[in-house]
Amino acid sequence: MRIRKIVQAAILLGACAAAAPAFDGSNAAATTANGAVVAITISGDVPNELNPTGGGAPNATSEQAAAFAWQEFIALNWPTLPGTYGREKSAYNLCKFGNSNCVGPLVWETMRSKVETFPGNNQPPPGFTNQSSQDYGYDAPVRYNYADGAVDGPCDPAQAGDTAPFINLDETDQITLNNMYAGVVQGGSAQNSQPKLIRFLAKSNRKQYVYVAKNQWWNVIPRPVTLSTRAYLAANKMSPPPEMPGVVSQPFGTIEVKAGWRQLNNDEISKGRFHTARVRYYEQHGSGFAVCWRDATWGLVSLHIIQKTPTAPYFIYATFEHADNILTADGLPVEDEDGNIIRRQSTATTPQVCLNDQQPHGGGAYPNKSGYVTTTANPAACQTIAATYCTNPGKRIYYHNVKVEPPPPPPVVPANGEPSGGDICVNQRVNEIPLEIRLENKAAHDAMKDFGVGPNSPWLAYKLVNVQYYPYDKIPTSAANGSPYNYGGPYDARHPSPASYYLANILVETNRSLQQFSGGLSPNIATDWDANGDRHQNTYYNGTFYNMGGCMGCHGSQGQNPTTNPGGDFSVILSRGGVITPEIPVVESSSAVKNAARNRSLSP
Amino acid sequence: MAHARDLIAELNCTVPVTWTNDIQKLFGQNDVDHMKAATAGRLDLSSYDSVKIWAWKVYEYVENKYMPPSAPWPDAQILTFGCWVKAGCPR
Repeated sequence: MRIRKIVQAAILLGACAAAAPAFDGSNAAATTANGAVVAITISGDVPNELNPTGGGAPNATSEQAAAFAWQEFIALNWPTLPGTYGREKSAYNLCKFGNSNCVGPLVWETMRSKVETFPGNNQPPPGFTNQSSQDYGYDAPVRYNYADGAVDGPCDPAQAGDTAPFINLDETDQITLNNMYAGVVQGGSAQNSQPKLIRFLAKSNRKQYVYVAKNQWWNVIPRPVTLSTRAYLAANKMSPPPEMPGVVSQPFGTIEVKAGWRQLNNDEISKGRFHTARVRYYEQHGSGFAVCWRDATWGLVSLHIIQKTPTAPYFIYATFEHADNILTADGLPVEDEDGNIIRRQSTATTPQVCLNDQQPHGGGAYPNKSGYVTTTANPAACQTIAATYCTNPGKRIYYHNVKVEPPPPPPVVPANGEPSGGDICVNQRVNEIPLEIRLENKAAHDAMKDFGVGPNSPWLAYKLVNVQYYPYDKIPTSAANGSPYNYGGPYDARHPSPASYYLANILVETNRSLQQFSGGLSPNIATDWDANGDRHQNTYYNGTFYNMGGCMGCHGSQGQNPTTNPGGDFSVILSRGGVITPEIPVVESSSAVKNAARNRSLSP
Repeated sequence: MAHARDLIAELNCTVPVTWTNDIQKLFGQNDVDHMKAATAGRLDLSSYDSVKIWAWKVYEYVENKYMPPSAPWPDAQILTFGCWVKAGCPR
């Protein structure tokens, strides 16, 4: 019965895809399902390898990778038992996935927040004990220790007695480059300075915490370790064996998550289509550098899951979104719950944007700083037009790039940034979700229904956007708009779809540099070039240096081997170490977002 | 593995160190501009209040020679900054 339904869906979806136009020169719509739909089971066990009996990640099909991602999603979104001491304690049969009567936090929600593994107060992580038998204190109660003087306390004294929630939203933008908003949220709030703003968190699992705590790398990775790690990578062009002494290499099974949350409007609350949880977010407190916190119940809008496995030392990257993220100005969904486009838009964004990233002929082996992103009438040609920003987003999502001040002399002209004079509205993804992913989404939702998940369960409204499970080496050319990768299929591990190569969550990586990332950050835009005209590569694996895109490329650039920061084995939070202060929303003028106080930095 | 708190506790500090007299001048305009540009303004090396919050992390980065990237501080300068942190970051 299920097979027949899937075949019917494939025929229907295939017909839709064949008629789809492509944005930006990409061919993402013309997808071909090259493998059988892989069945998805509702299990509380987190998978620890992709395609373990068929050669691992390098030999997996797109469908296998999508199913692996869904198995991660289901197990990590399994409830824990309320009041249970400890973290990542799945309730398994005692309280099953999707049971609306289970009120305990979800498995991933109980992982340590980044500041719980990398505290900002120059002390060991809360609960740390130097005993491996106790996992170095991983299961300690929640406590967020930023630098002394960084957090004053609750904004509302009535919340002073709150138990700190597991969801700690201490990031307020897209890796420092732009703010992201949901127009569907009502403006104006006495409690939230920017109700429409998407806020983020990063967490990691027991494996990473134990590795960090055992090595006592919670503040800064010592320079000798960094130098040894860089030397190993340069000599071998691959990650060191897991937990190799003297270098950074995390154990297999290391998992990080990044999640986006926002305030819900009254209609969204009444419909119950979002997973909700108690969150902590941060606001300016007075005129100095201190901040205060507030607790509230918000909705989950995006979820990244990355895992290091024996055949994927570069990590497997999966990202999920809520079905209602991309709306028209009138509030109608652009995609359905499986990711099929149901209201095709004529442009990806308003205004449209493109990347100018021509091969330079300078003199340095660092990322090229002469590129820039402009507004355009045609991204495929990338001719600059005067910026006319989006002034009426309605219920669409939209972003505002941080204004980049000219760097210290000699100034770089044009500025190394993206259009920052107004809002840019999102109409549709640049690379739509390929057919094989949409089919796996349907299979996952069907499996949930068969398992007994109710028709009104929020979990039926989350969809996989895509997976990255093997690096690809993009060769840049002189083609306009940063010579986008646009392979049209059939897809497999070594020939990813553009949507996989440029894996991006529409609420986490949205502007031009993030939604179509490749190469490096310079540090404000993506570039495929070093200043001396050489290709910029970012990911070492199995004797090759790749110019990978999307999440993996960025984690390679910023996590495996960053230029100025310690290498963190594809982990940016390990690379950056102690979290000094939670981020607060920047005060945005009509024309600029700038000088935002951040707890993260980018490595050029 | 020695951490900033351990290293700072062991420093032999013989003279008082203050922000106004000793620390502020360690950061040139290029340092201030660079860190603002590199960190989207999250660290303002010209502000006492900002540097006080970030003090131990600044110490660990200069002590490990990660920063400044092109011209690491001499040991005497690192000692001065560490002694300021050890004294509680007096203004």
